[in-house]
Amino acid sequence: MTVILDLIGSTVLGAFVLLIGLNLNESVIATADASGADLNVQETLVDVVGTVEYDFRKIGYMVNDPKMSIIYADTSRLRFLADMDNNGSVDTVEWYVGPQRNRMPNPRVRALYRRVSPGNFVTAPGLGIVEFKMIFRDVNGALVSSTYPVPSNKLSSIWIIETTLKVESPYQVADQVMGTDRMVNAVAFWRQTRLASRNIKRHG
Amino acid sequence: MGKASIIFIAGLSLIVTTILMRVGKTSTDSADSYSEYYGRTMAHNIALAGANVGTQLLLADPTYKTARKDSFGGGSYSFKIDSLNPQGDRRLTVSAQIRLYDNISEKSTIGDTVKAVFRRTPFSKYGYFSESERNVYRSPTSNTTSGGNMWKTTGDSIFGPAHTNLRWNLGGTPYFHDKVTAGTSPLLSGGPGGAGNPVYNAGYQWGITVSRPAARLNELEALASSNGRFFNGGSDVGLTFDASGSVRVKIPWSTGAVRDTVYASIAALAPNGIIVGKSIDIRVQGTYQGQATVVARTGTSTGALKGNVWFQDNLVAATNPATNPNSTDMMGIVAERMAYIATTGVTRTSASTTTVQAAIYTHNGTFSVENYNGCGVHGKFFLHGGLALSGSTNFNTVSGGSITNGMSKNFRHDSRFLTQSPPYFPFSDKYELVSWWEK
Repeated sequence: MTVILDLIGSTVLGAFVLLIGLNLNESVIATADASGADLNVQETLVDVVGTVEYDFRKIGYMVNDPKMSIIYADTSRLRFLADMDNNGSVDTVEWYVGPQRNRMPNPRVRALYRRVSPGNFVTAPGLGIVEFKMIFRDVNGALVSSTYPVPSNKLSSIWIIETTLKVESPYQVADQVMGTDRMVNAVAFWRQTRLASRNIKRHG
Repeated sequence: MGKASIIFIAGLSLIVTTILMRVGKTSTDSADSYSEYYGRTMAHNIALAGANVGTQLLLADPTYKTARKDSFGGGSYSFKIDSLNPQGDRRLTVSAQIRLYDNISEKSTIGDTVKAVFRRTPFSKYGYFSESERNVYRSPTSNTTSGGNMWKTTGDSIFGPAHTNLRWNLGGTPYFHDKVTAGTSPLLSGGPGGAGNPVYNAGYQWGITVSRPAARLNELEALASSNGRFFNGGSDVGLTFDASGSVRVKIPWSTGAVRDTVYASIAALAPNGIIVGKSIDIRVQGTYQGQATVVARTGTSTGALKGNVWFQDNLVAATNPATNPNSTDMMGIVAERMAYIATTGVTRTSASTTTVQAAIYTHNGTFSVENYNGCGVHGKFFLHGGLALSGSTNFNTVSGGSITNGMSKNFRHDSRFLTQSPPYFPFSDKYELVSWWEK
């Protein structure tokens, strides 16, 4: 009788231990998954931001009339002139976001494109971008225009480009704050409020 | 059962520990990612701080050349200033470094670089520059000037950077398309056109003076003597440029009795592009191909009334810079005394047009129509280039709303002159920023 009780007791305890173990395993894997997704979006954001800053800081570099450096400005598309590779030839650079990527588990994800011509070479420096937004301010910090794209006669007034970038993971992971039952996308966000090229304001 | 439980728990612990270590490393990597971005941003900001320091030192003292090293914002920067060419262009190179702790124990250094190029402000960059807004018109036979205030009023438009070393006299609503600067704030009352309410399309800044060193004219003369073309005294020189690239030199300018020579190109006449006449006038016209700066200098005695450049007719580029900003044809006109659009012996009507494509600099006088208040009607004048003058003047006289003498005028700035100049075109001692490169 004692032996039977021992067997039943140990089986129940063993089952509990097994359940706890499996639960722990699931939890740890979810955490690892979420951390990995966090890391991915953060690294993507840092990479994209580095490229955006590298390009935007050169707006107007070696352009005869720097006031004419920005040739198109919309909330999610910017076209400007700069000698990007410092070879004495002025390039046309364009940044824009593409449409939403329907095949992704996260329907908000878009591709961010960078095109440098001559050559019309398009690269997509960032996947997972869900927001790429620009606001254009003048020398006094006021909005250059209330309508977009910015009218061509106001492009020369652009002094500061306030840029916002948001990156989300393409798939959902366990919410690290609210608990593993809730699934969310890992998110990283960046906003530069004073991104301005010295070249577009050098003359006067 | 006991052994199995122990093995199970040990195995589970091992798996969980391994995964947790991975999670920990992921978190660390995540922090590293931001740490690196922070480091890059800091290094960049430190480099910018160093560049701003170097820029201010150079702008405040054009002779400043000392390299500098300093600590700032948890890092350090160093900069050096190099001379780039005989014109005195300078390059400021700033390197910044900041040390970060990567993965807790390992140190890493992140650096950044900023490069800036400065040049002495060339007077060709201005759409309109004057030492003062006073009437300094000198007739060909007298150095007397009226010296009265000259006003920019409604209907006057200036394209390209505009500057006067004293003050603007503004009545009504003159229009400034680009930035306006001056030594002091403008006079806005007491002139024609009512109270001044100017339109500063690109802003304004007062308290700025830009010196015009006379030494630049001596340097031009030396350059012409060494590797250009120098005409010293004698009769006035005529230069007729041809679209083929050739230049015809006539002395005297009207007959060519002393010399009448055709040079195949500007370079054949003056290899460095500098053509200087001293104690004489130079008369120019035609279509030029290539780059040149034509300079007329005053002399002493009877030469005191010389040093004028006369536009006998159109003077335009072979490749029109107004329609092709990539045109490499570029002309500088430098007159120590006056630059005139000739009217004596030139027949024009109200329908006539005269076009000049050049940067014009007058050291002591101004630029106008010869005898603008008594020459009759000479049509319209178009300038595509820039003006840097000692003072202002009129182009015509008006009666009943119509021009009775002189020419109507239309000035447009050549945007190429913002970054390029005709050969050795006069420049100030002051430096200005030409390009700013950030990594």
